[in-house]
Amino acid sequence: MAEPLVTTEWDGKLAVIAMQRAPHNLLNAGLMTGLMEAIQGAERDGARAILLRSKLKHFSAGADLSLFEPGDGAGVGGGVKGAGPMGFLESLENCPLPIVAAVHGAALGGGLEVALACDLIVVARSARLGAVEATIGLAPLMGCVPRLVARVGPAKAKEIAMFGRRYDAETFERMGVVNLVVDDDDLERVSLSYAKQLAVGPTIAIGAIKKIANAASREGTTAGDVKQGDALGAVMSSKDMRRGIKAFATTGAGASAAFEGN
Amino acid sequence: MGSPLQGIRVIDFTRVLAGPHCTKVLRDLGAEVLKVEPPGIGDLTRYPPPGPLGCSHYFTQQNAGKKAVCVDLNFAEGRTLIRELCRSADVVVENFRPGTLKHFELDYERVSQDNPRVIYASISGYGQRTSMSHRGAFAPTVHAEMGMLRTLINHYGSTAGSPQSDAFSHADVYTGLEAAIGVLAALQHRHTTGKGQHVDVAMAATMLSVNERAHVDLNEPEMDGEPVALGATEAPILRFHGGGSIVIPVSPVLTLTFHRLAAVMRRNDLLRDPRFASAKLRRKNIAELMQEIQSWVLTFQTFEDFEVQMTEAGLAAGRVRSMAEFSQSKWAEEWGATTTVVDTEGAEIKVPGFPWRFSDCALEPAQFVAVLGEHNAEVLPTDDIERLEAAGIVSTRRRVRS
Repeated sequence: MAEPLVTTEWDGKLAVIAMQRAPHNLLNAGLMTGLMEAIQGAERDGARAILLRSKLKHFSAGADLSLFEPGDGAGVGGGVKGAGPMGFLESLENCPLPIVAAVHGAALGGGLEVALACDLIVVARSARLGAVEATIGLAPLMGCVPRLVARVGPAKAKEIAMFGRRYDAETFERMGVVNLVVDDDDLERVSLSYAKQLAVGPTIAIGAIKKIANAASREGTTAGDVKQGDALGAVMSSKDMRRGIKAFATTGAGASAAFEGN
Repeated sequence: MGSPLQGIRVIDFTRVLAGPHCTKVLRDLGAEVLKVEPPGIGDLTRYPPPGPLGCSHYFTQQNAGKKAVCVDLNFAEGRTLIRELCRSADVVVENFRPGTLKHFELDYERVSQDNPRVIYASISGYGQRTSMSHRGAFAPTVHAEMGMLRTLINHYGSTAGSPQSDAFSHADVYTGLEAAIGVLAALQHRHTTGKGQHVDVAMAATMLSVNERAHVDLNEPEMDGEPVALGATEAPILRFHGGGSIVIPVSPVLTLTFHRLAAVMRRNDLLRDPRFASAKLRRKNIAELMQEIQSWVLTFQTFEDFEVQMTEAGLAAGRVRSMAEFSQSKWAEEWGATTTVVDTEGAEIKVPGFPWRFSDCALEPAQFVAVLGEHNAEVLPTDDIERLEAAGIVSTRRRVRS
């Protein structure tokens, strides 16, 4: 039996989902379907946060070019109509759980796009990131450009995508593309600690924040405010909110609450 | 707007550290300090490196700004001169082995006969009249005798390597401060009563007094694995982004602070982790607990952000730096944390600045460091200094200009 392309391991309520499509996690229908299924499975099995990483030398060196041949792209999502690569990315963004990407080695082209579809990105210092599609005459086709525009503004986004250069992790952190840069040897422990903090947090409130931020990013402040209104009910009636308020009232510190994700 | 101790005259018989640190504090607060030394070497700290022989930097740091008088007390005339000087003293400070100055007729009983207003402070290891008064006292020996060394050995445990005394002479410096405090208190008492007195200050007692966990060390209560004194001294040192180290000021073993830490770390799951369920277990599994804390620290990129997050828990953090590095910081400049003194070879050396700022007084940094006997002519109550010098009773060095 072949090795699975995607594995799921658990650390408490944190689902650690790892890509291992040798040699370099080139994204094809199989890998993307595997990721979607792992994420849906994690959600079903009660995960409160997801850490997405690679077990290979690189995070992902990009899209397998077979993806762009007619017919193949439709294979993503198990052939569900309207899925395809963008459907895969949307499934990450629509997942109610916070997703942290831990990036080491190369995250190029489609690999960068997978990271950009996650909520937070932690990067090893020696990692190299870039929207390199232009180097082979392509433009990024898996959501990179709009997501870069949202993070760094149009001028920098165009620069990154038009020149197709590789970038240093610290540069991307300084520009606001990624959240945190750590020494190579520290990536595993730090990304775990980072994701675990979310996994033991108030899951409903965190999910609301994700929805509001994504809506605002896609459609502006007004859309974000609308989502905020939608989320109000669920957050206010959550047990975690009541736990937080109670902790605050008794100890003066909301952060002393033990959230349970409901 | 003068200095707080302006007009106070101190006769200073002290040598090395505990006594000189006391009289340095009095000098810094504005007193006139006349340091009396024997001929030959004088205060032996004039010699060890670094710095010019006869006026080392160690000597400079403690003794800059004090006038230097050099008289041989083995001569009756020398003793008479100094007794005369003590008539005009507000304060006398000495740190000889108890009984030494009595031999020279310069003990409190004799000096206060001529000057009942004198405040006379004696600093020693174990006090003037006790069963240990005859014992020599150095910081490491006092640290050992009064139990601090044992506490340190227990504290550092297996990480101690080969145990040794630590890098600071706590017993000397703290005792110097306690002596200065005693002098100031006696000055206040004199202000209301007109009378001086003898202040007997013991290093061993000082070290107990400054030990904030003495209540544990003296009573040895059952602690159930909880660290002592808020675990303040179990503050872990952790690696920080960019290669430096930081210290966080709480013990993760102490239950009280473990809870605060877990919250500020957003890791309340640690509170329910069976490895960390009690102080004893946290001590046993400290390496794993430290891993979690270290990982969390590494999720911050700037020290400022980290410290701000710590304020959520009412805490702060510290960067591990060298003193040299710190002395070049903006704060050090704002405070005047260091000042310079010109040594006897004309080199400028940095020494610590003042720990106080007075709203209604001005302090003068020390401007010079004196060679042995440099101020004899200015200070000694005699018209006949050449004869005394020729007889070897008084010894005056000329400052050598290079």
